[in-house]
Amino acid sequence: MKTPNKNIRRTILQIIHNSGAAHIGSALSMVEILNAIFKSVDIDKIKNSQNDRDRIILSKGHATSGLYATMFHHGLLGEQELSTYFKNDSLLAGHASHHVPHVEHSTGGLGHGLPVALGMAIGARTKKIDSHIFVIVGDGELQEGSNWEAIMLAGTLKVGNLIIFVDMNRLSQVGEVEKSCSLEPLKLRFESFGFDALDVDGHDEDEIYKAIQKSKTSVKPVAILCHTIKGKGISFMENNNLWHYRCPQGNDYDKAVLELRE
Amino acid sequence: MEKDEKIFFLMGDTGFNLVEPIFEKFPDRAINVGVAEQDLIGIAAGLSNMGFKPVCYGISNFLVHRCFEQIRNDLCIHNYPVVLVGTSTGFDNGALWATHYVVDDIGALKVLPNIKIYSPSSVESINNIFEEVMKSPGPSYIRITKSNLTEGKSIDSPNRFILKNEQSDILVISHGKMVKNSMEAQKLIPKFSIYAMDRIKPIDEQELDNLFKKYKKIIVIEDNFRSGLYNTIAQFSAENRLHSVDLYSISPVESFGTRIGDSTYLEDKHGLSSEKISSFIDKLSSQVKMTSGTNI
Repeated sequence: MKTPNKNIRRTILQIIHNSGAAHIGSALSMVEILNAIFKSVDIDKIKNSQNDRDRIILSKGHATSGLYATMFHHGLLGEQELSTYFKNDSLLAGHASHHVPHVEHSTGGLGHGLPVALGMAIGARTKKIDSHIFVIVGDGELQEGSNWEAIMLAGTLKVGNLIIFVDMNRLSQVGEVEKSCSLEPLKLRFESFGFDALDVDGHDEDEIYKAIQKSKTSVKPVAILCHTIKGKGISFMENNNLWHYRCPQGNDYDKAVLELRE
Repeated sequence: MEKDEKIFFLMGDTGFNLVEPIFEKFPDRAINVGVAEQDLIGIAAGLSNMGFKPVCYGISNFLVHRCFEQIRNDLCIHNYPVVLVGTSTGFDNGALWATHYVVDDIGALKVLPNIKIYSPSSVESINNIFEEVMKSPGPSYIRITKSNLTEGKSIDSPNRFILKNEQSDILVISHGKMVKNSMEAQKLIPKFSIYAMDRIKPIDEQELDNLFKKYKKIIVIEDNFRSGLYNTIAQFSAENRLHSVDLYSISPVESFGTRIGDSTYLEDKHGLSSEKISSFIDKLSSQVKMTSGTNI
């Protein structure tokens, strides 16, 4: 499915617009990644909080509008609760919170989700539980050294039930990731740390889904490098870092709504 | 670990010649994550999510300061039952200087909601505290000194009287290794009682209330800056308007010293040796006007 998922994007646009929240570009870049992951897991096990559930950790917690929108479309979050996103007295903060049912781990400070995901993966393996741990990190986030501590150990211990998705939209808050502190050659770097690494079109949900199925059979941890576009799906937001923080209002909102019509 | 299959031992490559038996006996539940403290805490959080009760072992400085945000976000926000066991407290590593001695860990951690803080003053206290933290639903930090005081009998609580002098209205409240120094000071000047408050957070308000009613002069002695137990007790005193009790602190001066020394040397320099403690209390008992702390 190479057409961008407009359903989830409409939900993201709406909850961000309604609450005056930020980080829309970061959420739009990972819609297909999240949707492919949620399609790959047993949602009922998550709903029932079974210990043998697959676990999904959004390490780039600032893009949580994307997580909540995707959870809503998979029946893990109600419409009423979703409508409170980023509003006073809501549990749905501007960063992922585990106080929201079925959110696995609270994130926001970058470089936290991956070590935690590694702990979950080691724990599942120790308990001989057949579940996979999916963690989504930003490419800019990979500049945090804590990630590389976890990547080194995951490779050493051959933690095969850990799957890392790198949302490679190539833009961090201020500018281009490559211009501040280069990650390249990222695929080689992951491989040299004992990972299987795959490049995928981060907006091709089918390709990501297939990569997940392939990753599940790997004895090594896997990094799926998802090449994405920040702000994907709304033309004037694409590759434009203005939309890291700006909230679509007025004419901008109207134009975005038009672009996301079926 | 033998009795409780939930316990998972983690460490960041410290503990040579100490931790090896754990790895031999429980290879499935023990990992040396390498020199990577941020990862250590994150992994502990993930293991907690899976139903384990991780114990993270390390030198206190690295266990507290290097990964403070991981402790805050991944442990305390989630209230995960992770036990942080930090060694080499106070001036234990004084000769290795300020990167390796730790006199600011209690103050740093106690601001965080959910975490419990302990500073055992004896082997029996360590045992008692471990039983307590293993039942705790949230995170704990236990700072363990290299000193190995033995009381010779099991204890009911980490907070208890070590020595009572019914003739004196002076009380020393201490924790960790400084309980031993206070006991030695008591031998020199037997003019005070000693209460070990090895559970530093949550504070035992009822017990403190009793102590403030019974004593007129209370000296908090600790190998941590005043931001440690003294600060907590001073807050308790202020909030409860307990102004009739004079409160004093003997603790390291709040600075990173430039000169090194072993624990005996640095404790003396900071007024924490038995001689300096006894001298301070001797003057206090003679009604000499005193201010807290020691100038160095």
